[in-house]
Amino acid sequence: MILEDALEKGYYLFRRNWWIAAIPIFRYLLYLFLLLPAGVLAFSAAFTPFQFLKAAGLMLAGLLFFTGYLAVKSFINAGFIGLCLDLSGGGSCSKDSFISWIRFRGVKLFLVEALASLVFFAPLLLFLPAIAAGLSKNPSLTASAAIAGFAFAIPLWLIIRLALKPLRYLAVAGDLDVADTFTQSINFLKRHPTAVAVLATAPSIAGLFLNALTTIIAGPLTKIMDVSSHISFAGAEYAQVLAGAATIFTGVIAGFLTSTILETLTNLWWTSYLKPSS
Amino acid sequence: MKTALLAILPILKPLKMGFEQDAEEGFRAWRRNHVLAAPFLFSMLVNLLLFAMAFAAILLLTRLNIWLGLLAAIPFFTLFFIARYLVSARFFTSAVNMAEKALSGGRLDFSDAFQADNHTALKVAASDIIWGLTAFASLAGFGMLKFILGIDFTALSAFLIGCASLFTPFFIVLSSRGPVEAVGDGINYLQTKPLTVTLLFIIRSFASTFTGTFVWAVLLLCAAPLPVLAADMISGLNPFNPRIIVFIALPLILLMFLASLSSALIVSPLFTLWAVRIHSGGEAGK
Repeated sequence: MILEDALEKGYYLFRRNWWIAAIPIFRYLLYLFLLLPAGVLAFSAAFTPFQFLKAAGLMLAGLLFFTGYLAVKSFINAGFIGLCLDLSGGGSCSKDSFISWIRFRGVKLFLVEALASLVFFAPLLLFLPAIAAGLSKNPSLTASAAIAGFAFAIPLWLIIRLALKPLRYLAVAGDLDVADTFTQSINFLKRHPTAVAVLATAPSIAGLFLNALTTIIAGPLTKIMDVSSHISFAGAEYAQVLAGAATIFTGVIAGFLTSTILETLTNLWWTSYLKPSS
Repeated sequence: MKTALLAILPILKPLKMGFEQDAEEGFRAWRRNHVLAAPFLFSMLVNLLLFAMAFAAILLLTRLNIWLGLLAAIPFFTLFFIARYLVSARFFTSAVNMAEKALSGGRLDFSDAFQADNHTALKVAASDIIWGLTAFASLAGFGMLKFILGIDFTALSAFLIGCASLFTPFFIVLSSRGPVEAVGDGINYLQTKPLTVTLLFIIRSFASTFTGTFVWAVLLLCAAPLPVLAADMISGLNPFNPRIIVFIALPLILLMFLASLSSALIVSPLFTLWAVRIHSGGEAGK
């Protein structure tokens, strides 16, 4: 599809189905549930008197959280992107469709996301010389090696980030195996660099509008808090506490809303671009 | 589900039309005509020279009398800014003409970088000044709003002004409009084709970020040996050592120079080609 049409269609679909932005909120809640057992495990391990158990417990908690996080992210995203594909294709979305997309593409997306994490962290290997210099207790050599590591890692990260952008959409939409998905993602960047660049940058432009809108509520509340903390008048403490609570609440809500809206818009833009018009 | 997937299979080959095609045509024209960077390079060099002259004159006057130097700073920098606008506009006009020629398949010459109508260049400079003042006024107004009420519209207004001013100089050079008319045309164009203008803004920002990342990488690579070379100075830790100042100042100057150079060589010529193609009725401009 033409890029402009895809962007317009994505926005139109978002306006008609804005409630699907609740899916990322549901995913955030699942992350919280996941944090709970991992947190309990880490907490109990930290207070164990045996060093071995402490280290093993903390490692296990970290592993549990990371694997669980990746699994929740992949499975929910498989359903979410699947629904966006259904919508882009002119269909409707339902709970059954969401579940069937998870069953159909969840495991594949999990594997793809796990491999993508490894690829993304691969440039960290460039910091091995700095670590080696650090171990030999040579501060100036460590600093030089770390700066050189950054010099190579920063552009590499940019290219990897771009090459991996279409990955999750191709993993859900395409009938490809895991390795082919990576190859196709790189090919996609080669064939459609403009589209990848635009779709990677467009959410930040949309974010400008959303952030400006949220300051309409959060801005004056912060000012009330500032003023009531400097001027003493009857009930100033209450005004400060209320404004503080309202600011935090607005900030959290606005932050959540902004990120979920942007994620939904991004998904709909990508799926509208990938899916032929029908 | 299966039928839905079968319908999705052609996804790997979406159609390349509209803005995407314009962007790639512009990129191809840039690869064929690297000489298009010449006006931007000259503009950068003349601006650097002007800045150095203004700075040196103020420094000289400050040596004679500190108050005289401070007083002279205002007219000198005002003159520098006006000269800067004029020089940039003169070379930009040449660049737009060159881009038009390149897109129509003509062969570009190095001498093209110096061929521009002075009257048109003046109009471009005037429109640049109008937009500069508008941006300043909006920043001041929304800055006050942020300071008083906490409502932050500064970034959004900067984005909107950036978008509205994007096509203004092209209306002057390619459609022979006056500066005020062109400013109005720029705003109208944003209203009638918001997506095209936004896409051009996005792709230019992306090109700047992309080249900027490599500029940072080159700078870091140049700076990597410094901790080893300056180890004896750091152990002595004398912050007033002129060699340390040189070590800190050099990368910063190099960063600014490389950033300007990458903009002159890559981002500005590419942007000019894209904008000229869209303005002259490319796929997205239709």
